Amino acid sequence: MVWFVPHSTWQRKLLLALLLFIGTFGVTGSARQGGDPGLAPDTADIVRFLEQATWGPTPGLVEHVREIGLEAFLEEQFNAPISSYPTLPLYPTTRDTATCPNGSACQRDNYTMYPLQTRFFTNALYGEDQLRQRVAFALHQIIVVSGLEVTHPSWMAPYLQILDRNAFGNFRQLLYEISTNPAMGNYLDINNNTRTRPNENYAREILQLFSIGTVQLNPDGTPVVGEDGQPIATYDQTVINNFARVFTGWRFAPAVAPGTPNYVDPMVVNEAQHDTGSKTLLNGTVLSARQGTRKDLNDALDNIFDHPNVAPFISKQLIQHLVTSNPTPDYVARVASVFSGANGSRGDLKEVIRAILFDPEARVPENDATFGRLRHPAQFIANVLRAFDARSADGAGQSDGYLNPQSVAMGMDVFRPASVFSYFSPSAGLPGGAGLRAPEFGILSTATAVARLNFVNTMVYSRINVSTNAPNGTSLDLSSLVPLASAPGALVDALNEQLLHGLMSDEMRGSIVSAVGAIPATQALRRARSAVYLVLTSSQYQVER
Amino acid sequence: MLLTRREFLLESGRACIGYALGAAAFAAGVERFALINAFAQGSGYRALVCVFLAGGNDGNNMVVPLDPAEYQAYSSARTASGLAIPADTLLPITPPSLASSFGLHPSLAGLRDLWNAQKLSVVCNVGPLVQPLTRAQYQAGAPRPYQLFSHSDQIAQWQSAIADRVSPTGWGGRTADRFEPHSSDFPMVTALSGGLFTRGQTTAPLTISAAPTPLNQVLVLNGFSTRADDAARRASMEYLRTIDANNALVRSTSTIVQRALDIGRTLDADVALGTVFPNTTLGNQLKQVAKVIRFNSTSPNLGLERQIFFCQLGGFDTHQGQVTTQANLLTQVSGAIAAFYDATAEIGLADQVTTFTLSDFGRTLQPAGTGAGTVGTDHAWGNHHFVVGGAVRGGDFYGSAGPNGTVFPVLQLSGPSDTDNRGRWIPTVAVEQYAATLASWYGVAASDLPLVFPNIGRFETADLGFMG
Repeated sequence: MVWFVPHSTWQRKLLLALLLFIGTFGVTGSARQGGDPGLAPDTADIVRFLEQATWGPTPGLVEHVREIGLEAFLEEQFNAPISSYPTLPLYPTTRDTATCPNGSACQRDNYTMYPLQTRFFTNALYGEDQLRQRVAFALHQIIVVSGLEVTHPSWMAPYLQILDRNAFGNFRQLLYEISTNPAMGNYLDINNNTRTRPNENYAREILQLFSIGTVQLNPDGTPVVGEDGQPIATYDQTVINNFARVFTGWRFAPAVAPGTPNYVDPMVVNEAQHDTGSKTLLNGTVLSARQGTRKDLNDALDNIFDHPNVAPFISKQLIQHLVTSNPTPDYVARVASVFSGANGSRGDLKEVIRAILFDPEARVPENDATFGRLRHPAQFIANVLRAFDARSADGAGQSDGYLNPQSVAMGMDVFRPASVFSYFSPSAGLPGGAGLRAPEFGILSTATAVARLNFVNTMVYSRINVSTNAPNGTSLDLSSLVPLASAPGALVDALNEQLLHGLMSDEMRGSIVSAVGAIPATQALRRARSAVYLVLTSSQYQVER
Repeated sequence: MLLTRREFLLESGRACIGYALGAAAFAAGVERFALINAFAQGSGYRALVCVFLAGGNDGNNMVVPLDPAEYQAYSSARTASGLAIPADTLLPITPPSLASSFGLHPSLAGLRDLWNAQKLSVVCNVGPLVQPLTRAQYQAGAPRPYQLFSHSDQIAQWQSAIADRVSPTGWGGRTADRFEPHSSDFPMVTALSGGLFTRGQTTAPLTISAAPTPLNQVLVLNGFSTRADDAARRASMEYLRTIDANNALVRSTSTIVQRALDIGRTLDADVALGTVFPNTTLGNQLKQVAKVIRFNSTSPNLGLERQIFFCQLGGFDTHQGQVTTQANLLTQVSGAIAAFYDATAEIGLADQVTTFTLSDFGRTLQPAGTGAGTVGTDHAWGNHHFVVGGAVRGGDFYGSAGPNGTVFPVLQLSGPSDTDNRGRWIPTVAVEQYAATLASWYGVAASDLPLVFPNIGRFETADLGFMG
């Protein structure tokens, strides 16, 4: 079946305007998203929506959403079974090289991120809870624990479970669970934080990175400026010192064995090491003396959660992770208003996600010149593989998810970001981009840019072979494209629809059609590969728009 | 060959003989040629090579006082646990500016030879500071770097040379920001390992793998044969990067990919070195650095007059088992840096390449644990570092006089150099001062130093005097 695919921007705009018009004055009079019985969403919008809400559209998923509509699909996603990560057996901090030798599967499975990284990719490729995974991975990049320091997979898994469990929950609850999580306790030194030497690490990062940021924000995410034209700080060192005292008096639950700390159960209170004095927090809020470790924590988290910055600060980053690097202030304001409780309770992430994905700016970009975001390496891998039915190397079964080496080559070592500042900064500038933000460009270097192209070459022309760490290997299946290859134009049109939701320019289409035509028609698979390679390696695809 | 306008301009800028050049491009070519000539005379080139010792190298066992009273102070803290290095095994050196002898760790024979040849100096007790600081001030709560004794934060402070706030850029990258990019777009900064050090406001590093990967294999686009249809695919791929530039993110992606492929094409040959490098992690990184320097100096397409490199060796976080671990690591450091110096001499640029060390922090004078097999040390602060090269005023100690009137800290627990009671030295030299001395030699104008090192004005001098 050949769908009408608009080839130019004006055609696309015309189409979208028409759809908007129909949506606005159609059966329900509401916005034009799917779920509206009077209006089936068009393929382009479904594909774009699935790029934002999942680890990439698959042909089957596109058809499914066409049948049930975007809104019903979103509800389905909110209720899909959680893939997440299993709780793994705890091992001694110091590896016993006699029973768990160097280079052994024991070492790999219990002392490296390997089992979590492969699970991450199999979840992404095959899990039903696509949106939950996308949101959880975004939260991981905002509220960071890194396997570089928290080195056991059994230590990281409970942290990842919190992100999955709370992805559609409430942000306040997420902050509480994270603050008492042992992996975070290790990573940012809440564990064994004592009243005699309060550690500032968690106090600093929960404010700077996890909740409010360093400067006061307007509800639309733009900085408040003072009379001197400069941004206004949200807190000073004194506030950090007071929060550091709040976070004293926590330690791990009793070890499961000597030398094997308990990273599974939440940290427990060690009242004797808690600073009992009063604390002055944000906006001058004072916590009374001697109210106890856990109440201090909860009151402090309330103090943070109630700060007006939280809504725009977190909303904007979630938009950047799911939809576009440079949302307009109006878009941020609309989402932040939902975060603040306009549609229900404050901090309801499910409503925030709904607002992000169904915002007019996500569905119909306001400015083609700045809209979009570079697919980060893990997303790029998942998008490519899901588009073409990722399988094992021999094509008979499923991929084993051993894809992190490819992601590392592209600059993203999954669950091992370099620091609490994550894989890349939300404020990273677009190189040569006149003030535009482009977080994912923070890891697009000369080396990683070439690695992205070579990844496509590996997957399109070869496969990831079976090896010790890859019991199944990974390959693509391009057979569905082979029947189209006799007509290069039809082949490229299909890829335009599937991979670029109709954004391909006439020039791009013409160039690829011509390159494909240089291959004899008898070599249908070679034609398909050439077309797929050219689309996937193009900047036009690398940037999700 | 299908040549886009962008490629044409780039190629023209490289003055590749054989292209039909327009008048303007020809002028650009002449200018390039002049630069190559200038390079051939060796007048202008300068390179900084950072060797980051990740984990926190124990400087207290790297440079040890041999003055009897001083050695006794060191020994009384470290001998009982098995951590002290016997005086008769240390490699003796005598810095003329101090009236006493010191010993280098016995694994540092290669660096001791460079000291003797006046090609190496020691900069003493350097570390992140937000202002000059005494023990009394420290204990009274005076401003100090955020998250002292924490790996990630202290690494960031060493690499950013900013200790009072988090910085998204490093001082290698910001130093490079002060210079015009080379006409070839070949990056000024080359990273053999990831690090904040290399990232500037506008500078992004070229990231390459270490030797033995040949230079012409570090940025290779896979999957194109000489078949006609592969050529057609390649031509289409090139063309796609020149169109659809309306979207800023698409445009930037195309630019970066194009630059990467251009650099890959520029690195069109491997180069050989007569100098033999140790086949170690650091040896292979520094070997690749030497090869890039030689390639730059000989390729008609290049001829950068300034280059910055970043290498890294891990494993220095010796909470346990320090005696063996540190000896092995310092053997590697000494062998690799000595070979690298020899390679720069072989290339003819020994006076124009300066190598220096950074590390997370020093380590506590007071040991952690006991017994030669297990004893180690904990995270501390001020630390000693090496600067190596023909332009270094070699064979001496540099720094700022501390509580004992010398640049060397007082090796005494709870003494005047200690933060508390475990022997964590309060630095007498800020990272900014160490870095600014190197950046000034590299060519950053004095008036530009505050742009690279925003807090440099808080410290007494921006020039510690160790560069000629």
